[in-house]
Amino acid sequence: MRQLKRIATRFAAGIGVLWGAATLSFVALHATAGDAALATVAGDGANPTQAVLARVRADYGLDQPLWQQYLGYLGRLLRGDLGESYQQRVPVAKAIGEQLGETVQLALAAALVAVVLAVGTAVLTARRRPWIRSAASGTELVLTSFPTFVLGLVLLIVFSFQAGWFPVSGNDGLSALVLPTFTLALPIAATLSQVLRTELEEVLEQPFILTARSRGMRDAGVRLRHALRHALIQIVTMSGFVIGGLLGGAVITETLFVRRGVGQLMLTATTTKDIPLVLGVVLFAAAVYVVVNLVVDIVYGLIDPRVVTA
Amino acid sequence: MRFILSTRLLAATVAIGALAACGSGGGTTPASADASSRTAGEVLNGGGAPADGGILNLSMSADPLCLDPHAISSDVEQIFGRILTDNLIYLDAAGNPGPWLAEKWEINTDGTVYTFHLRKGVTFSDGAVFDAAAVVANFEHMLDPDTRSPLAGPYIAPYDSSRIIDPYTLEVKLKQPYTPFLDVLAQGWLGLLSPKAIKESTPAQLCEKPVGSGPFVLTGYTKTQGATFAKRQGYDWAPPQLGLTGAAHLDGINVSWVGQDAVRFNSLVSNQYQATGYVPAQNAAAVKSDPKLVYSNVNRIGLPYTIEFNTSRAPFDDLAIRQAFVAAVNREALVKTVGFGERQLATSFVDRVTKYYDPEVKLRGHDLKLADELLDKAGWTGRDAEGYRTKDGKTLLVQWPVAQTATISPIFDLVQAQVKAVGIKVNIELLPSAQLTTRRYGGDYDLSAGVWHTNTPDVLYVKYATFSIPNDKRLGQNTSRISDAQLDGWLEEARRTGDKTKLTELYSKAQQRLTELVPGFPVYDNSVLWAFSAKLHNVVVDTSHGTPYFAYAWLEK
Amino acid sequence: MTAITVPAVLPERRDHTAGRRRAFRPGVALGLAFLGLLAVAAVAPGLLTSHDPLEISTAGAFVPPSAEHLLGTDQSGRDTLARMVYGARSSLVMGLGATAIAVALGSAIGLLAGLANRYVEGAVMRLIDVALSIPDLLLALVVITLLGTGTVNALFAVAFASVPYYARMIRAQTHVVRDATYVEAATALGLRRRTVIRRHILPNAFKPLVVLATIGVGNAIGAGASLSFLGLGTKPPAPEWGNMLSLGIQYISNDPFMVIVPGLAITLTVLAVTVVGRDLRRRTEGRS
Repeated sequence: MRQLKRIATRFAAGIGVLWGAATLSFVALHATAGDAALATVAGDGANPTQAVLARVRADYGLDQPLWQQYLGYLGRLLRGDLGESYQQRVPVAKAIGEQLGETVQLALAAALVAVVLAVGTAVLTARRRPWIRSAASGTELVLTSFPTFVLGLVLLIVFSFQAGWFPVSGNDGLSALVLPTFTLALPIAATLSQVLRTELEEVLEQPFILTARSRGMRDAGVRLRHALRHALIQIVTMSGFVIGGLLGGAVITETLFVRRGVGQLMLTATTTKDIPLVLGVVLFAAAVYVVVNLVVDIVYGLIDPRVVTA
Repeated sequence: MRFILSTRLLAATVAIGALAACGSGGGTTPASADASSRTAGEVLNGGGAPADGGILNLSMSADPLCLDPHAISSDVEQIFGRILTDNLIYLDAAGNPGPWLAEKWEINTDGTVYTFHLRKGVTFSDGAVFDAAAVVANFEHMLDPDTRSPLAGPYIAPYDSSRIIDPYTLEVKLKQPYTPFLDVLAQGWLGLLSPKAIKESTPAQLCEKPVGSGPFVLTGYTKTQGATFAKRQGYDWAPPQLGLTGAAHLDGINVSWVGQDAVRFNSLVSNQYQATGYVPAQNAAAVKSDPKLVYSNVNRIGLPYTIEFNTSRAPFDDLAIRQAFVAAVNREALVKTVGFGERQLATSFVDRVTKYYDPEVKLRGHDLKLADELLDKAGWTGRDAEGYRTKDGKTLLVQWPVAQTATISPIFDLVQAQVKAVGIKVNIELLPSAQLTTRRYGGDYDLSAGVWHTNTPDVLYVKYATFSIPNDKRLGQNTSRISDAQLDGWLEEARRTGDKTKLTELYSKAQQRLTELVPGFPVYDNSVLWAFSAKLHNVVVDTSHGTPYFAYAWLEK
Repeated sequence: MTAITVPAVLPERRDHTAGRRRAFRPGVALGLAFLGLLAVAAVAPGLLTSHDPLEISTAGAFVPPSAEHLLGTDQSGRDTLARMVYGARSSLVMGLGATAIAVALGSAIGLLAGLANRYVEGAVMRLIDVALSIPDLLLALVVITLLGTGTVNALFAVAFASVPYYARMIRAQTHVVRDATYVEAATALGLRRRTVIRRHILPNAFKPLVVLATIGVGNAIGAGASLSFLGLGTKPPAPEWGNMLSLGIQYISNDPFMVIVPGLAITLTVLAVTVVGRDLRRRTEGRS
């Protein structure tokens, strides 16, 4: 019962966050200069008439007072309607939906690679000889220092332009996914692996590990069965960081590798001031964050009952 | 990130990609014997027995986000139009209107009534029949405010009404004589759509799935990723000028949008794509020297890449300041830096392949001494702390708003540095497209730059007639806002007459007059750079746009 | 860009090497040396190059490295080395400026939340939650859409995107200190609330902040370069590394130096700041 109440409270807080996000982004984006109606029809080399412009303004309610546009926006939001994109002339939900698959595919692949790399590195290097640890932490340090776009460029130039192992761009097939995945995954993996190793090293000093060892358990067994289980909680804790990294990194990665996806959509929408679309992507990102945190919360409650009373 | 590739004037701006889309090369008066210079109507990599089958992977630069040719102004339509749709008219190699779906036509003496005799047996891919009613449906669709047509509609603005004489004879009435009417009917943006699709779709639906009568049928469109086209079975009505009949050889064409120059170049070299509509100028040399690729550099009709002054406000309302600015700019150096040997110095306010281009017209050259004299005489004699000229304590400062992209053309920096030598300060403002268009139509800029491609010398009316100055009724393309009664008279008369001698005289006078008015200065001729795999044969250079025409292209197995 | 979050989310753990701290670390020394070089470039660029970063050379575009142009010239014929040297200033201004703004705003908000009554705290924390629910780069894009592009706006965008992390950290630190027994004791002794804040809470809460801010500088430099790379930050022709890189990639087949040089500079700078920042953390933790 208490568990349910806790989840309900969290859920309400999540809705609050989404409402706040919607309001903030609405206010922010309406304050920018530029005529959205012009942006719609007066793009590259366009030659529209004033009648066409008036029609566009009326179609999108751009001629209404701001507060009416806001109320209308919230009302439609409740019905799951995010509005219509100025540039694409389709519902925002559809525009995001069309791109979502590719970004989810990329994000999941990157998350998987990041976790596998991080766990692998941490398990293999925790409490090892100093030079192994130094090599690992040095690599991690360099990787976390690479801004995403520099790392992506390096991978693109070395493995695609020069070696020709992977396609230069696009969304076609598994091979086109490899370089973007690693671009997105490596910095996250490096951070996770640092945290995980520190955690593992602490766990490995615990008395129960000594007990396990004294019962004759082999080192690999100890690492995998005992230490790792405790350390993995860290990864769950950091899921918010991972999600943020994946979504933010997607903007740059998708741009660099000319992949379609929500990231590229967001950048295009920002530069063309496609207000409904920008709002839609921001809300979408906030929603993902809220949902993930809710899930993490529930999972916590399940693994560690103390959280409930805390 | 969008790398805008505009081939027409986008007033204040042209992204670096746009520079890649325009260049120099052959045409009627080739500057060099460069084998890559192509002329309109040429068949590239021809010969051999065509093989059926295969999919052509084609990379383009930016998704117009809508594929209804009437609803967009994107240059994509120059290529897509020829894939998906057919037109009433097709230009011949000399740039004169020739038959296509209109087999012949008559024009009344005052040029206001056109009677088209239409080809029989043509159908759209949804089964709708091509007839006079279909043409009317298309004209009405272009002019319908709901279509929000930025280009096709304005190009047929003089259209008044139609009368269907019989299913294959159509009489079109214009509000006033409009000589370029037949020419514009040949443009990709005026490709004909199925009347059934027009009637049954909302504008948004038509954007997603336009239906034409062309050699290929749109089978899929994923925004920002690409579009797929499949061969239209039974197609047999290509322009007679091509001299070929029957259906396409290719099974289909898969198009991908690849915005980054470096990526587009590398994916062409690695054969990920067998053709690209846009070769970045900086990679042209590498493409040219690659025996596996066929490279084309096609001059095209219209306005060269031109830097324009806003003549409606200070300081460029003063002719002397405009002349001084032009004298301060070293156009040869600009072309050398941005052209990578692929651009040809512009010699007039129309590209040299434009009908009635006048080779006698002379643009003023680089002359720093003259620039200084003119500025001194105009009273800009003071100097501020940074060394820029001042007058009454005010610095000689000009605003140049340009599109904000990750990669800005070096041309802006170069011009800025060149005119600094005579004490003119250029402030380059990078703006998002929405703000840029607002500034552009509000007249809030001093400099703008770009190209404007259309397939008729009427480009001069579009760009420099008083009627084309943006106002609250019409968002015209006269971004220099030049207004000259004499020029207006000639350009209007040119729209009324079909007489070639008269047209030659009128357009010569107009070009000459523009060199005196100095609404701007043409920098280099607008050509398109594209390339394809040597395994792809029979690619035709389109006569209206200079772009690749793939109707009868075939892939070597 | 995502790197902004790293210092804030990394749990503060005991570093196992802390016990074996050596007086001299070659990595740290190299890092400091590199940062010193950057500082010289930023303060006195004339010492490192005689060229003007905006001047278009008569030698032309894409000139290969020579005695006159040590790293060659770019697509407009400007000296690449001069642009790198002057670009260092952009980077340092971005790193220090954005971090200073983020720390100031974040600390104020964090202290407010940590010390105010629970209603104010709740409200502030919810606002922070909203900000945290949107990935940093998206938040920065929103700020840039609002303010427009440019060096200063990009600086604010980077700063605002990292404010919530500092705020949250400061609030947490405030709680830790507030609940510590010695502060409780001080309060019990009848010391005034303001005195307690000044004497106990502030010095203790700000200590880890200094360490995190140091690492934050590196992240801000990377984030600023990312924005410029996307065409949203410092405007050309002003020399900026992210900008130079995004132009360089277009011309990579004409001149690979245009990509290698700025790419290396950005990475080394972030790396150097991080190395120095981590060493600082080791030292402060060693003392406490």
